[in-house]
Amino acid sequence: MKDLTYTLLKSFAAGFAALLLLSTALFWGRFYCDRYLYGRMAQQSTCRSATISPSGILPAEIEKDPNVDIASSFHGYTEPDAAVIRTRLGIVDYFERRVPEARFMLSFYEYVNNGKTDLYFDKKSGLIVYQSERAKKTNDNKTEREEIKLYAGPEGISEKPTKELGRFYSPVRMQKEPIIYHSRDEMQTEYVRAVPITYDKKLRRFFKIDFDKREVKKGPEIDKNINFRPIQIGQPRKGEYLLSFWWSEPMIEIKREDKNEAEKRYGKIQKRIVTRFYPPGGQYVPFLDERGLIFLVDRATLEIAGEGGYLPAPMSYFGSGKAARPNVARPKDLLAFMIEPVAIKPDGKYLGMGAAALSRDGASITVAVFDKEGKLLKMTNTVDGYFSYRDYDGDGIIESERYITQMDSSKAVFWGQPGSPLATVLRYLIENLQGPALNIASFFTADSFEASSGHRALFLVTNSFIGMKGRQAGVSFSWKFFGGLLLIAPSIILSVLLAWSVKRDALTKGLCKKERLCWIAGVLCFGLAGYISYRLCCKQAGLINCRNCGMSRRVDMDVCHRCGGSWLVPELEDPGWRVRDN
Amino acid sequence: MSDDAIVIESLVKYYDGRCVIDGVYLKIPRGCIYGLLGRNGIGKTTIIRILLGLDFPTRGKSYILGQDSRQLTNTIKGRIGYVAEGHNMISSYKVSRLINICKKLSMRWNDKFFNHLIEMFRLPMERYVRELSTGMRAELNLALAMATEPELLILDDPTLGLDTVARRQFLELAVDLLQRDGRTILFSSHILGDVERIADRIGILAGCKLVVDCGLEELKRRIKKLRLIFEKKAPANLHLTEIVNQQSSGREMTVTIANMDEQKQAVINTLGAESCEEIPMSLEDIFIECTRPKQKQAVF
Amino acid sequence: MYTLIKREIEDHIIYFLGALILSLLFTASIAAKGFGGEPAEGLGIILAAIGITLACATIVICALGTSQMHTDKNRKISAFLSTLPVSRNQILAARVITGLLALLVLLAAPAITVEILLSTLRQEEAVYRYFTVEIFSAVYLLGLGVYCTGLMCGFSSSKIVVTLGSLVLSVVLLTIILIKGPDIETLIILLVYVSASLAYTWRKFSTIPFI
Repeated sequence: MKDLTYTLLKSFAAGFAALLLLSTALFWGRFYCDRYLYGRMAQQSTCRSATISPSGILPAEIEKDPNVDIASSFHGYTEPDAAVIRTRLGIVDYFERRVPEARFMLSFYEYVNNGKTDLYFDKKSGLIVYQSERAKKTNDNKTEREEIKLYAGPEGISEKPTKELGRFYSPVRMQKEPIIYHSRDEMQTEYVRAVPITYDKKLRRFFKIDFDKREVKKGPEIDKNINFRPIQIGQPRKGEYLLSFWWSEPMIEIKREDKNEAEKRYGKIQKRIVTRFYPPGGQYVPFLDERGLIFLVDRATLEIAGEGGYLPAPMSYFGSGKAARPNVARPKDLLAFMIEPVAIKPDGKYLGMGAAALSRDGASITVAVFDKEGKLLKMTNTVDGYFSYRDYDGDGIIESERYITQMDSSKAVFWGQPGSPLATVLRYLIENLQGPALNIASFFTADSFEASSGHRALFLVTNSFIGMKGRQAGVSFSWKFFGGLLLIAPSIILSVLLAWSVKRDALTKGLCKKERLCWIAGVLCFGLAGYISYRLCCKQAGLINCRNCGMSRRVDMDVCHRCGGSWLVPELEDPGWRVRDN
Repeated sequence: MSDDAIVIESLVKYYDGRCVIDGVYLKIPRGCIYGLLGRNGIGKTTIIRILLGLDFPTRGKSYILGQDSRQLTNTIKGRIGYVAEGHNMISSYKVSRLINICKKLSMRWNDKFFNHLIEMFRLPMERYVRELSTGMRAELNLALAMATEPELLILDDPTLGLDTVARRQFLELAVDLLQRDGRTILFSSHILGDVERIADRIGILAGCKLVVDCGLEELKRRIKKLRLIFEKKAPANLHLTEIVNQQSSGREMTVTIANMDEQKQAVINTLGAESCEEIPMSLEDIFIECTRPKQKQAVF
Repeated sequence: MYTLIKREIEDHIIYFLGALILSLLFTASIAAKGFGGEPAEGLGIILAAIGITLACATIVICALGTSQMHTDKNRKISAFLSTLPVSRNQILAARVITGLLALLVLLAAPAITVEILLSTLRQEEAVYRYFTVEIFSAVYLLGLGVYCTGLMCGFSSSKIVVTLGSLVLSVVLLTIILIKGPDIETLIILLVYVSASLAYTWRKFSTIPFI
């Protein structure tokens, strides 16, 4: 019994070690295939960027102005090969998470003219802590550093953490709101610090925390019946290093007579209509719900003003992925997303927003534009094709050739480029070396992993073809599962072959039926890893011919495992002689 | 079992499909000096290594000082002294370092006695073990084994490589020191003179089996070599069991018989030999007869 | 036990010396470059030092594990020790403890220096909280994993498996920190791997004949 326990222990130990090392090696195989595939994709401009122009959210008098030289637009852009490194290497993610403004920290850093500010949530006290170090001029004109530390709770702000301040329980992370950009027509630069607004999930209220005025404003309590799960407040974003998304204002040519002396030296100059501006003092603050919906909260009253839009669901290899609502992607299913709310000067009137989303596999960007009511105006996504640019005629670069296929970029990355099909097949085969059990588990769990962490999975390949199949929407489960089994057919075939080899070897070695079945089951489930651990663990027992049945039998067993015959065969024993006295 | 220092039951050992030991039964009582004999490569060292837990049997069990060899506790190991074949010690260590380690790891250590032995053997402490001569290594090995005052001393061909004088000294010392307190010695060798001098009981391994396991005098009494001369040609079949060896040459036949008794003598008498003469055998002669490959098998 | 551990350390003193020298080198570089500089530069120095430490540690620690098992067979050390009142478990435990100590020698000084350096950087909250603990826990477990891989490969009689094989497997194992980052998940995976490889080594060592 003890021997059996130790044998099991050794088998599991060897199995895990083999599985870990094999999975790591296979990970790198997939990584380099992806680098190749996405690198080729990067060469296709239409595969890595999506544009909506004109945006459609500006007033008609601006959009249709005949003087408009370049229309307003939303652009989404990604560097696919850089994305491969960033998403698949957890060490990059680890450090990205730790830098200021990182996505997992309720913290933002800003550098004002004369100091630094730090803001974070202290779980122990339940207070939001504000630390600042500023330069201060003393009476005798010397500069000295002044340190300020303030504690904010639902009931107020104080220099000491007291119970009277109350406590926050789970405040939603506040994203840094944009500073005002310098605008060329006004020729000035403004930096404005946003007053943080947060939402506490347990208290179900919004709070505006003004550390300058040392006051906390509470919004009304949100009705419990309203299904509301905010995860980001401010300018919701994720994966800033993976996706660039920006709003371009329309450009109007300045007539020569209107130019100043400096400008007259240049040719065409375009004037921006300043719209890309979301002032800290502006009307609404957007926040993102975990279902992918974007709501707006009134900055003054801290009440929910309505829906602003949603994260558009990008395409994936097997069609659109699963979503809570049609065309809406959950934040965890996306590698990256950003929104750009737009307001127009001088009064900062809200016009609408653009939203961009980078798919889980990093192969597709979808851009959507919403009006001020939150209604979808336009949507586009990346496709296979390219723009070829040539010549600069003094006015700009001329696009000389445009070639676009109907193939979605999520498919084009695998098949659209020379050499890509081979790399795709190689990647597919590497995924199949993982073993049927892990592949099937990947099929079922593909949807549960957050997008970027799925890329770093060692054992479950949730961002593989089988994972994409598992996430496929709009198909019945049985067809989907059958399709999945076909996808992992090489894995199943390899496992069956290896299991057959193990069975033959185990029979020869004389393993008992139970042990044999366990090993066969293990190899069928884990494929190559199971086979390697069998080779590491299985005893090399010597075999000799059984005197009873003539077949090979193990020397370490008391009876023949084939015929059950014992070692002593009296009719074949040499009578011999012995001289013994006991 | 408790009266026996060593018990081996149905021990079988295979190496790469080749049978080395095939069903050995052995009991060595406490206080006995047991000489285990056999030709080179017959399995003597294998049995000892299995006893000490250095190797594992293919089948069967062995017990040493009442404990299963596969699960020897440190307490039991502390009561055993072992001189390995070839005097395997850590050759890259200095003598002093090796002694220090053995001293610290042993449960019992007779420092006075050990120092006396070292002085007697004149062993250089600062030399590396690999630089010692074979004799010196044997002496060191023995000193290390004896310093622990073992209840059971296992000597696996301890005089290998020693000259005659050194061998004699070694054996006398071993026996003299240990037999005083009734300790047990298992002594394996293929040098019969040494065994004959000191052993109480003899075991002989031949053909993967233990064919002899009895006292020395008993062995001499039970194995007899007879020269028979017949009138005409010697018969092919003697109709006898337990024939160790049989050689015929014309009218003359030489036969070695195990467990000679009256019954067998009566059968021989019926053969009608002109003369039947017993040839006295030394232990060496017996050993050669027992371990020589069979030339004729007895058919019953 | 102490005697066995001391014996192992003395037998493999060259690895300890190598670990100590590397440790002092890295500590000196971190201290020289990191203190007094900008925080970002300090962090950069730390990361570079950790990366190089890990790379060199792999070779030293893997070699230690392989050497302990492989030379044991050649010099018949366990065969001799087993005849003394010492169990196989004790011999193996002493070996593993030696490996743990060697890793500690390699990593302790750099870890302490990094922690001191981080505490002098201005933004000590949140960003660098638990940084030293997380990074060095992962590095220590990685080193341990590499060591255990060396132990497992050391059983082989083939020189190619012992040298190249152990190194290749160790490098593959090291890349786990690139894939997963020094997170809790990585620590769990490495802990399980270390436990599994130690269990395998123990079982193999317990049943191997000392010829």
